[in-house]
Amino acid sequence: MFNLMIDKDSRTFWEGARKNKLMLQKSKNNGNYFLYSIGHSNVSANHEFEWVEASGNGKIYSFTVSYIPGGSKYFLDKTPYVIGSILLEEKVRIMSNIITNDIKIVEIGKKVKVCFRKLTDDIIFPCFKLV
Amino acid sequence: MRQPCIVGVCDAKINERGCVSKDSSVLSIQKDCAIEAINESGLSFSDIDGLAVAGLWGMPGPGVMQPNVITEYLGISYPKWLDGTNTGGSAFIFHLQHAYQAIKNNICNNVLILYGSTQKSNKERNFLDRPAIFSSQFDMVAGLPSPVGAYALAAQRHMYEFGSSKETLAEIAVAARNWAKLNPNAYKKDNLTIDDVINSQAICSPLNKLDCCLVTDGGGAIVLSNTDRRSDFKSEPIFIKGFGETSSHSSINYMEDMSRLDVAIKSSEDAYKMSNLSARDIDFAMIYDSFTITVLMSLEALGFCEIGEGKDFIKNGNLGPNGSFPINTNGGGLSYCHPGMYSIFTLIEACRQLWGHCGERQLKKNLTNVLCHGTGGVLSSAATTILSKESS
Repeated sequence: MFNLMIDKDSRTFWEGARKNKLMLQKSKNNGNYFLYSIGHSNVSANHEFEWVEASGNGKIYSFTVSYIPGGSKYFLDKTPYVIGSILLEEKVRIMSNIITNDIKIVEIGKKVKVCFRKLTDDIIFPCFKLV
Repeated sequence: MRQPCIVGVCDAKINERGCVSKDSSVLSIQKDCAIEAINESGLSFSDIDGLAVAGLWGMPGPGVMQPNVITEYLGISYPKWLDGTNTGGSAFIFHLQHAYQAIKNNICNNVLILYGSTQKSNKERNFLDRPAIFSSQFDMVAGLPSPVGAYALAAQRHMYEFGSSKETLAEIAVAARNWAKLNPNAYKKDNLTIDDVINSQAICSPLNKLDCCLVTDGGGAIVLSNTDRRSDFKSEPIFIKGFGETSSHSSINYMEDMSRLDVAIKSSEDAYKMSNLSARDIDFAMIYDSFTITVLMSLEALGFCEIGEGKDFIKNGNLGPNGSFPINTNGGGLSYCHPGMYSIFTLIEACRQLWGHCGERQLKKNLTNVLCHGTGGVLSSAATTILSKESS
């Protein structure tokens, strides 16, 4: 269903998600967090890093209600659904879904908490619910 | 001193279905555009010793090496300079400035920039079930439609920060349509109102169908030469007074601030500095309109209004045929054509306006400096150039 190409920089994230843990990378040099790419994270490419579990708390940075399927055929029968860019407490943004029965109450700035959704036999995805 | 300049342009004819003629191919439309642009310039095909090309055709396969394909297909004999930079739809403005540097530094003399797409005829546009790879793997598992979902996230954030609205975005689509009505080669020419845009099919909130660029075929060519050849030119040469280019991210979540187009701030700062001009000196702008929000954020980032004030700047048809700040007089990607990578059409229309070739849509005011701005990817890359009748 998902043509997901897990690689060296994302394996720990997806393995963590299967154990209901939201995993981020953290620079050992300056303590800043990032996920996958380091663009605009104040981490340098030559920093050493470690994987750590995130608090799972964040706020909605932006969102869109999608009326068309994107990414995978999985979403063909799921519209409309909410995609959110979530700003985590660790100052990292993560792209995810906001799980709600009422899309009208989703707003930028609202607090959210991680929840884990099984999408396929292999993929559990960290999603978010309004607090 | 030898100055690089634009001396010929051409865009492919598209029919009432937004397609190129049935018996053409993605390569033949590029050949046709090249021939017409070279004829317009006064040069001959054998003068071409530099080639820049980008597109989405022929992949996977020979298209991953497009400069080789075009060199062979057009029979360009051992070009001295080649550029296949692909930064998304902005690529052709990158090509223009790279060609400027190559010609200025005597690496080559006459450059052809080419683009073609038959995405509509071939029904190629389907982004579902592509590999979820690199930083976009998270976006794809979240079901973010690309590119529209990414632009929707930016639009939502822009509305939150600055109070812009769906009406703001709709005004931009209406202005584009009002220009397209004056362009015989535009795909969409029927009347359009703000309500039509707001009531069109919801795609990714806050963007509706009529906030999105068209899906059409299309193609274009640009010929650059240098002032050593001035006696051969059929038209007044158009000079490149300044330029800037940059990139920031691949996936929208790695854009530093989704409400502010930092790449365009940077690329235009460099273009203004090189040309000793400011936004106030620009007579007219061609701004890549992949989505209505792209125009709003670009106008602010390019300095035509303050960040966050675009919603007031665009009001009352200001960008349209009767407005005080005309943009995208060809009808733009929103109403003229959008074959996938559009920025070459900003350059083509800018030259035609400077030459006075635009017929019914020709701007009445005196034009000296025209700014062209291209956005690529999901607000990822930016290139700004300032074209002028005056040499720098």
